Amino acid sequence: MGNGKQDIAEKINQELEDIRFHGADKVISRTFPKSGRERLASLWNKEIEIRATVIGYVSASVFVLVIGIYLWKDPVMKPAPSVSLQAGTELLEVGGSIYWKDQYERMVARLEDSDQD
Amino acid sequence: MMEQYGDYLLRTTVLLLRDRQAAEEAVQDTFIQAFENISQLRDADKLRSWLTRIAVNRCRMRQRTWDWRHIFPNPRMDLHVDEVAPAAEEAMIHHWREGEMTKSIQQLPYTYREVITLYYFNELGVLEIADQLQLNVNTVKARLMRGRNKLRQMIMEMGESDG
Repeated sequence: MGNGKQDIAEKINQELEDIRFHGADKVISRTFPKSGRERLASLWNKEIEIRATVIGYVSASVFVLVIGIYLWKDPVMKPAPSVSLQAGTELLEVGGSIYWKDQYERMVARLEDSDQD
Repeated sequence: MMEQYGDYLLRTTVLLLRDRQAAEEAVQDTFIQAFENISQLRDADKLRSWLTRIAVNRCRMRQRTWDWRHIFPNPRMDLHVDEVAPAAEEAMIHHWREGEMTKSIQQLPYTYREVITLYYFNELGVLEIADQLQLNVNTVKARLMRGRNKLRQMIMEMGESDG
């Protein structure tokens, strides 16, 4: 009796003796394609290796680009319209309160008009 | 090369993948990869070991597609294990009933199946397995020990069911 490990390997080989590799022709046709069809199949089944880091960088770049385009087309931080309309006007302090000068004048004018009526 | 190592590699992949068709494809892919990268083989004496490594990686790739959990080890397994091949356990495996060793190995979870196959069928040493699988030596020892324990458990269960 040989050592235990060898005996086990032998035993497994005995159990698997019907397991025989018959794919040599397929390997040859894929490795050394002769006909056009085999070449096409070989090209179609060609494996390409891409590093995970490359995939990560590309995905991150695409994500940033898409988000950038989306924000550029439809910006979330739109300026408040009231601020832009009121830009350039003056502030007034009346009775301890602060008003926009043009709004204040409009309100005063309206009140004066209503008094005349 | 295919004539010499085809059956050996197919038996290895059958043990690892449990599926004859998937195993056959894995071996075909192994030979194609070997033909394409034959220039990377520096030492012709290491052809068998090189082919085994490619085949095992092929099996891992196929396993990964359906279950990541079986590829990554349980971190608690990386404990120190000093004993590599307890004689009692080897004797137990040696007394396995005819025709059931393959079936039992195939029933093991992938992580154990891998090291048990490489150790007992491919007859690699612990250091070689660690190198092939890019694992820590203690991890290989721990997986071997647990794999053996599971096999022993299977023998006991089979013995009980036979009465």
